[in-house]
Amino acid sequence: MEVEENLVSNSRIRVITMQALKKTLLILIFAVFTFWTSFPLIWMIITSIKPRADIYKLDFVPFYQFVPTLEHWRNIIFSDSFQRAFVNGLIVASLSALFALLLGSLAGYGLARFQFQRWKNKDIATWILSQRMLPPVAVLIPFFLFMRFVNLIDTVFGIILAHVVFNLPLSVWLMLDFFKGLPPEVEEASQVDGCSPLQTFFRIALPIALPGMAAVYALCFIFSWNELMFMVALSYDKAYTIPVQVASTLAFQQMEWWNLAVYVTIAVIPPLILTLMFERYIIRALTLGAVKA
Amino acid sequence: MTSPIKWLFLLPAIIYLVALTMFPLAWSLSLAFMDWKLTKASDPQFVGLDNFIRLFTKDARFWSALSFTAFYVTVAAAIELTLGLILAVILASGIKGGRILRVIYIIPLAVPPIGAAFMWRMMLQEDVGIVNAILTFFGIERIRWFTDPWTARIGLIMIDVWQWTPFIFLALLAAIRALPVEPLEAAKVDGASEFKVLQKIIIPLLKPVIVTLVLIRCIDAFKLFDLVYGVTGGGPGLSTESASFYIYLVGRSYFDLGYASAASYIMLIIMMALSITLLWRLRRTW
Amino acid sequence: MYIYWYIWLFFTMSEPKKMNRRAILGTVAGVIGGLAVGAVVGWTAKPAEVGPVARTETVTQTAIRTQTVTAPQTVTRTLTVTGTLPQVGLPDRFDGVEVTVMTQPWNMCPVKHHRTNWEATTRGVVRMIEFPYAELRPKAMDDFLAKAGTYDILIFPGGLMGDYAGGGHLENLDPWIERYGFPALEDLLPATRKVAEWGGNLYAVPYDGDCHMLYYRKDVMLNPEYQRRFREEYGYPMPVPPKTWEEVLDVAKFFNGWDWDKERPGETKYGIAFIAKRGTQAQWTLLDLIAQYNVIPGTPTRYAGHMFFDPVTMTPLLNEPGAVEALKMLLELKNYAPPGLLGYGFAEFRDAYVKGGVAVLGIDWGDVGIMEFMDPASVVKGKLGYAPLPGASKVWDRQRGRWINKYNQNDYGDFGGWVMAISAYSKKKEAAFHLLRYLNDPAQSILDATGTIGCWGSNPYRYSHFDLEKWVAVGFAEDSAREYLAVIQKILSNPLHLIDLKIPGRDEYYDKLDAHLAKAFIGEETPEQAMRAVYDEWEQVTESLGRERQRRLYIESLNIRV
Repeated sequence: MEVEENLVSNSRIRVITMQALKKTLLILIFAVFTFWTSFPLIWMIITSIKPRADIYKLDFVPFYQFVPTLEHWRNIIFSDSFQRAFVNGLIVASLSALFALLLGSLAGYGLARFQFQRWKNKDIATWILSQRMLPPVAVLIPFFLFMRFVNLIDTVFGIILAHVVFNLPLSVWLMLDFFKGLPPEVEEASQVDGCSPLQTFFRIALPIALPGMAAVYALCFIFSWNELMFMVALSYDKAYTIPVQVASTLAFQQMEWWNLAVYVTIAVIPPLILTLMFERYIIRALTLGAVKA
Repeated sequence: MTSPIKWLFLLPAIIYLVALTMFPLAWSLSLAFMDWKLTKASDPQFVGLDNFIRLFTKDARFWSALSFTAFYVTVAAAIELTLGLILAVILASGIKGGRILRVIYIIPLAVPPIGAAFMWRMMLQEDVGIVNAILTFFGIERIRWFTDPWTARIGLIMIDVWQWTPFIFLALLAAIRALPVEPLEAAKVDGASEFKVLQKIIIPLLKPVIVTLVLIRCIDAFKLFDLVYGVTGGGPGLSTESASFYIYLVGRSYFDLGYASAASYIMLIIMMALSITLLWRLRRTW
Repeated sequence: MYIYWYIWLFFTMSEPKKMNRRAILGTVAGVIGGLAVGAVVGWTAKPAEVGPVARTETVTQTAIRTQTVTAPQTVTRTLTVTGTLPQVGLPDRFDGVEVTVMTQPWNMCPVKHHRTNWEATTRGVVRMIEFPYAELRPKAMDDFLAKAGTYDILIFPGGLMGDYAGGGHLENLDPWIERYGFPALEDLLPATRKVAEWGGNLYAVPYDGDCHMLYYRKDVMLNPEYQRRFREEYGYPMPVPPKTWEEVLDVAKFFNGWDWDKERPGETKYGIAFIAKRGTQAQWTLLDLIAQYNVIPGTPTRYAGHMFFDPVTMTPLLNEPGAVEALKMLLELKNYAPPGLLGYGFAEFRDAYVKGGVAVLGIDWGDVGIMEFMDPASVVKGKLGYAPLPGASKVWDRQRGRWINKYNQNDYGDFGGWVMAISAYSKKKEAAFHLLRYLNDPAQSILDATGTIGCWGSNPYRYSHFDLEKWVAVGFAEDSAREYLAVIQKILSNPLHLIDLKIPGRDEYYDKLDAHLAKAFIGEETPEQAMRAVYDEWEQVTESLGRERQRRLYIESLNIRV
């Protein structure tokens, strides 16, 4: 009896320790991964508040190891070029994401709800997605010549047009997928009630799809906010955005690491805010997507 | 009745894409058959297939750039997928993440690629960079990041992994959490080991998501430009020169527009071949 | 069906909750609209730029102009410059005329400073367009191609003169200068003037004088203990500074791999450092050596005074034995450099040399000397010595096909510095010329060159810029400044100074040279193979650009007498 009891409690202890070990291991793996992911940005933030003389020292703790300074932040935030780049970036990214979303959800809806005869829906969708595979260098030069021809170089509008081009395929594709996952019954009912397809789209389908659209919007916003190659090719001194400023920190004489650190830190903020704002509603929307019937 | 209206939905996007991508593409195709070099101060001349012949017979550099790109895409996507999957599977049941963690995982995605490139270039500096300093602190030899072709290639892949693993991890985690519960519980009742559950149930169920993720990563990674531009400049030797970077040099530095167009067409075709196979798989899952 | 997991990445780890459709609708619309509207409002609410008319500051320009400037004592020549201009016919007022200046941010700094005065006196407006360095040339070429005339004044690397002036895109300034006068042309250093010339005419004016020089740690090299040990090991006194690359090699070897300044315990330090990273400026380091081993000094003729092509056949000179020897020497020097050398672009090199103090010898442009004193992170303040490029103990005689075993040294203007020119397509040439002249005037430009106004965009390009007092006033140690300026002045006033390549296609030629140098650095190609490959690829480039035209332009660009 005694022996048996001992055995039982031994094995119970073993199970408990095993679980604790497992838990610790999990937390450890998780911690390492989180550290690895976040470290570069932490280092950037530290660098951005270091005096220039200390940039190459391995100090981590402000006040204790070095005297933090907001000099670099001040220099950049109060400069005209930064303010212009930041505002441009917001305009370009928000509007181009909006256009891409609008065109994308229209097309996505069309492909999800109607049958196209001559070319099959799948062919059209594939063709649209294939646009995303274009290496940007392949269209850069003709695109530039075209933009100059229509006199849209160095205008915010021209840049928006360009960014919609590479966001649209993704937007169409994702919206198509989203509409496919929604139940068609409600829309059919509304059509029976005498609504035209357009009315049905705007009154019924669009509101249901809003959460999905928010996600697509966020994604398009981030791509547009970060895009560099078209940006540099199509802007002079008016329509540039933050990535151009980042590229400019590599001056011919030296690398301005401190400015780079500030720019990178600032550049991360709008996409993050956007994500946080949309987050709650989209998660709720997931349940809606799941209710099929 | 609905026939004309349905086109109303589709046409805006189609027209937009035709006007702004097919048109430039066609233009650039015509350039591919021209000899047009801006530094030469003469008008474009039609030269037929010359550019392509030169590309296939004389330009070893283009092909080595292309093979490096392929290598980069394969290794980076494989590592990201493996890491992301392992983490997602381990953590799916384990730890509840708060909002702050989600924010942390979004950060790498939100950094502009050129910013990420410069950032890592700073951190990987051999003498004064933080990464080597940390290694030295732990008694590990400094890594000569940009001196040896292989460390440089691996360095670039490492940056890519840093930027994209969290994304793959989050997407897979979401997918795992949304899996139907019944087969998993049935397996548990049957007493299957965790590894068996993973192998026989979770991975097959995740397959379509994985295919999609791989497709998207491959397409984006194949365009590799910013990292090369910002971190290595293609060196040491020509070991990290990517196809996009080489074409960019030819087009924007040599100003050999015709040749650059021809090269970008070859790249486009290869990329299409790669992605169409993947696209076919995707279409089957519809 | 599954693809949208991909976009849920943001929203994964929390529990689904009950939804409220109206709330979604409201918030999403609100946020999108808010972002857009906020952006637009923020944009329009930005204060409008104050027009030049609104300015009421007094103009102190005339007072500065008549000042007398003396060259430093090290140079026997003293030069007096008066900035008074003959204002024949050129209007003084450009009400509302907008002159567009285009360059990279770093070089725009002086323009930003001086425009205030210029705008106040002339009532014109200066518009400044900045691009990242790599985009300067593409942007300019795009504009030239369209004959659009977006930029009136371009500030660009002198090496692009071939693409710009040779392509007929720049205004010949000689008629303008003749007609309207120009402040103290004779004050320009000969080398910088040669860079700005094309076919004997000034198509640009200098903006920044540039040349490589040799830096050395005088605190280390003058240490008596080290000097004694060096003499014991190598059998001759420590050369301070080294006069040939062979001596450089000995010094680098001697100081490599141990801690010679004991500033931080346990550090290993190295002999020499230079720019070697692919895709930056490594080819100029190699050309520094080729200039010594492969070029006989003299006025440019077929066999002397230039270093890139044979002006008769237009075949490259880079696979001559002298060039191969130079590459071999460079590869040898690499062994006595920090192990991370191949990662050294200009940014990394300067970080390592100035802020890390990792090597005794360094090869770079004048910027290191400025960073030595001006960068707050500098650890070598007052410790650097400066010298012209070392020579070689032998030189290849191409004409006779044999080595000449005597000391050979050339000054060589790597990169060629920056120049300032007027676009041929400009529609406001008069205002542009007025501004160009104003910026180049010694009264203004001395402030740029000496960093008095906090800009380090331009190194000296006029004799009058070597005004020692001004340099000391901004924080240079007097001895260092004297030595530093003397070296630059010696290099740039040498009439036999080698001019950098500036024919069309220069970037392509240099990229190919750089690519094979990079391959030689990692041992993928032997020096002979690398230089042979450069020869072949340069031939291809020349062929594709038209051999006869390239030959003519090469001769024109360097004023070679064939």
